[in-house]
Amino acid sequence: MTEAATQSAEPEPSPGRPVVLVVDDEILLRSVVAEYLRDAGIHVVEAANGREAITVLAAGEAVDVVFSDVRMPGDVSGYDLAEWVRINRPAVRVLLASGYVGAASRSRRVGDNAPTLLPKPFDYELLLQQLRGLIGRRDSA
Amino acid sequence: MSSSDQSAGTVQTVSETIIVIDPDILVRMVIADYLRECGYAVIEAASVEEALIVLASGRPVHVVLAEVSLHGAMDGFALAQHVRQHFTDIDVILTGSPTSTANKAHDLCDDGPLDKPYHPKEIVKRIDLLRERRRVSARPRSARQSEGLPPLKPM
Repeated sequence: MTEAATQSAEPEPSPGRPVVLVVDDEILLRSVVAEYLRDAGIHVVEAANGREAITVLAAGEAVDVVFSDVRMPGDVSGYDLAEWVRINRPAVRVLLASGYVGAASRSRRVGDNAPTLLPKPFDYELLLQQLRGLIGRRDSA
Repeated sequence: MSSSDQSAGTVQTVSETIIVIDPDILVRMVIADYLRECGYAVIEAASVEEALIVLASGRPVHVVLAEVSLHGAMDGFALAQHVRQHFTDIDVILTGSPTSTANKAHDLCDDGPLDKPYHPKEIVKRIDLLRERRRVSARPRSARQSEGLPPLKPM
């Protein structure tokens, strides 16, 4: 993906509530996850696909973590989105949910800047735990 | 949007659920955030198809807020008609109607469309008006008369 970021500098992490961009094309799942995270005190931005997520990130919206499904319709998969974030918004962490992650790897990171993988179906508490870990990692970076 | 703008909206004590349908995520998220700050539960839909999935799921919804010029299976007018026919407890607010279609919009949604650009607090005012009208119409006729309220006009 060659789309360039529209902002010249990475926005600062949000000073108040952490911000998570939830990306999923299944609205019922997306809205329930978003509601759960809002109840946990997280500010949630919802995107229906990878292209919408890039629109939000390219607009310079403060985002701490992108939580995205891997498989989505359209021209931007979860992996494409993670790659775009790595190039254009490197301080933003990425957590990818996939039904094809090996059962043994409950959640793993590959390399320093690689997205964290979360197997589907996932437990909401585990998701929240993973997100808080990533938010903390961004804050301490 | 400034905090003073947001404070202009009504803060709901009882959470009602609004579906916000707008294909432009940067518009949708601003409206949705504003409505949440006002105390509403908000479901964000990027398309009519997504909104129809939510409606068919049986999740409680009180108001549908939609762009007139939606693409896909239905535009905003067709969606308003669908909601009127199949979900009679749900109010519809359309936005962005061109003047030439204003009359059509008035027939299909409650109190006519909101022209763009609009401030989100106009949405809140419209929601409050529609929901209050529902509450009044749900009251027994005798209660309305004892409160000195005029007869209800058909919606």
